[in-house]
Amino acid sequence: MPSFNRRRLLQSLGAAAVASSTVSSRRARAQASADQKLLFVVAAAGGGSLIDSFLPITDPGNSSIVSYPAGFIAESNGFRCVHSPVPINLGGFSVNGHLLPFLQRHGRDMLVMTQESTSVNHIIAQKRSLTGAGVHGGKTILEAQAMRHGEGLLLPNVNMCESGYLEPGDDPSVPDSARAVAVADALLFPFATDGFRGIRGAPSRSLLERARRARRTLDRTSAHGFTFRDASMEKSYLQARETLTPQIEAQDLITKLTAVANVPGAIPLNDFGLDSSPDGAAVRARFPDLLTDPLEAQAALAFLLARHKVSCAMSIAPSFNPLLDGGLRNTPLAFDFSHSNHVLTQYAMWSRILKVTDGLITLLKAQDWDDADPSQGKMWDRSVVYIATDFGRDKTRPPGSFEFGSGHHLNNGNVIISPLLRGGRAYGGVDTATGLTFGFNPVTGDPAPGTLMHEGDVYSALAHALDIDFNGRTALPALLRS
Amino acid sequence: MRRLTLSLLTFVASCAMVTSTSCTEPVAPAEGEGEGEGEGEGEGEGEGEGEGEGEGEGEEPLPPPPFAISTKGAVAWKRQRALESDLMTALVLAKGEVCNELGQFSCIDFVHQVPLGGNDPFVKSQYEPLAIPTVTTPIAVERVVLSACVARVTKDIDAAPVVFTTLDLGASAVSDEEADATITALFRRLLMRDPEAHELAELRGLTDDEGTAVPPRDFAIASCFAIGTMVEGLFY
Repeated sequence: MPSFNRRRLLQSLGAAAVASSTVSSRRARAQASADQKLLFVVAAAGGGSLIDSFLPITDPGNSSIVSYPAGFIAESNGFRCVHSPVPINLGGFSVNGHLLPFLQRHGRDMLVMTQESTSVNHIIAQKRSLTGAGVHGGKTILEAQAMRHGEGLLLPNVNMCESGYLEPGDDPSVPDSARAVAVADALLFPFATDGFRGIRGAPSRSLLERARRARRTLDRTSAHGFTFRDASMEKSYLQARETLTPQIEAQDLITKLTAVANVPGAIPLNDFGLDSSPDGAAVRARFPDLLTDPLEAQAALAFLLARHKVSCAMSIAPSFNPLLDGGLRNTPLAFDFSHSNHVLTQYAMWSRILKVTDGLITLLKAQDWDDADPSQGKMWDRSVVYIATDFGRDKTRPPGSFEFGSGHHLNNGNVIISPLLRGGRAYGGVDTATGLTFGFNPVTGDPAPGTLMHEGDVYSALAHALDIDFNGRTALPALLRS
Repeated sequence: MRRLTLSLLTFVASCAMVTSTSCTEPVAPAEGEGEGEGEGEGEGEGEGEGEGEGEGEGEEPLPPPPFAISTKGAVAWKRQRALESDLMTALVLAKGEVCNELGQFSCIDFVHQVPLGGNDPFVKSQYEPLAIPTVTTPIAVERVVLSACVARVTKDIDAAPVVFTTLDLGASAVSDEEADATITALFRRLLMRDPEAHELAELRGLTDDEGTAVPPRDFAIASCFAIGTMVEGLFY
């Protein structure tokens, strides 16, 4: 047996990294196997309107309320949705609808919940859609989820959104570990998970690990290190560098999270000693345009983060920038292009959001939660997809018109898809005379004209599904599976 | 109460002014314990490998600090633009040479912009940068600095050396004299000061890998990486 000094062995950062990652991995899996749940927030940025998607009003003829002819409304799994029998033309580009296919595939797990928000300012409303307008002490639902289910995970809360959906909550007691890691580019994020790999010309990892150890000593003994040893920002940085970095690297996330394939010349992973994720082919089958469509890339990364038990709270959002790639894939300002063309924007953007969500859910339904123990079910069995949105849109239009712009409106609702809630129905309803949604009885789920739900109630519904308890959580027995 | 506050303030002020070890001495041993505690203790007990040694393992006790410890601890984060600019100056690199993932995606402007403290309000609608570094910031910093060091060493091999002038980058080993000269040059370029004797000794260890000489090229990159990623150069 080769003699070795145990102290020296443990001094080896590489050994420590392996050990700690193993422990971390075990802890994560032990935690994950018990009751862990997953939250995916898909942000309908700009104002996705429910009466233009899953609560459409049938136009009685020349109505001044935003409504649709009967031939443009389809039904499936207990829901109605806007559906054009033929592709629509948006700015010279053809758009295929995806609302009806989505209902057909996931309607039984989907619920619509009406609500009226409290701001028509994009950034404020976006943030409130995640904090429930402060119902949980200012925590975003993502932070609350990371606190509840993120123990032992390396990056519990990963936020790929923009603007108000990217903002942290307002509760200073949220631990750093539950705060969001902001990801600006989902395709290239894996590079931020290893300090050395993929850098051509770098010396051996063992030498660089020794350089890290030398640096650690220098940091501890330098005048700067002594003087600012209690500086909180530096301490936090060093904690991440010395503790988390080895664990992240040991998980080989630079491979596991790389959804893109090796493309010689364009994405030359192999030339840099890198490779695509073992799940890459399955992910690319669902998101074939992830190289050119950032939303598909985000959804792919969200799945991989959950798949490899790196994260439990993931959020994605379409950009406010247009995406022109063989068609108008993303309208300028996302849903907010409704200012210019309400009907077509809502239809195109709902289709876009739902198509990507469909791909994500399909992956979750196919993937075992634990590769070694299929009896634990699929990832989908413990997932919640929350389609957040800023607010609704104007309810009126020039009589009978399909070409008009709409402003912001507080009144709206949200879509939640999850096997953890009682789906297959809409909670609340729409007054066809005004286009305004109304609330529901939280015990029976029956429509209750004259009542309204708010952001905090939607937050509470998500919290119920995710086993997040807090003072002020609205009791919503109607939404819970018995 | 006022008197107590006053006496506390007096104590803190005297500690801040005194450069001897009298005030800070009692704090010194906590350095070794504090840093080792999280990993050693927790994992050791959990996996049965600790044998009671976990706490502070891997850290030699430090001498008492010869400097007063800042009571405010108010440091600023050197964000992505300043980091890039400093690396360009220190290593004599052009903007496009510092760091590019897969040889084409700018680390500073694109790939690692957010964890390095930047933001993109126009394309990404990120209106505020991070207030403090995130958990992936250390990795992003390492990738940027390592890439810049590789780029500089490569250029110094391919043409007349500019930074690593005291090393024979084509040789098979590094002498102590060459190592000291290189480390000193890197300290001056990256941290704007001379290295202390113990810092020279620590980095000189990178010339040797358990009895095998480390090639000068690799030593140059490794020492550049170690010095360039010290917190001293990232917070000010």
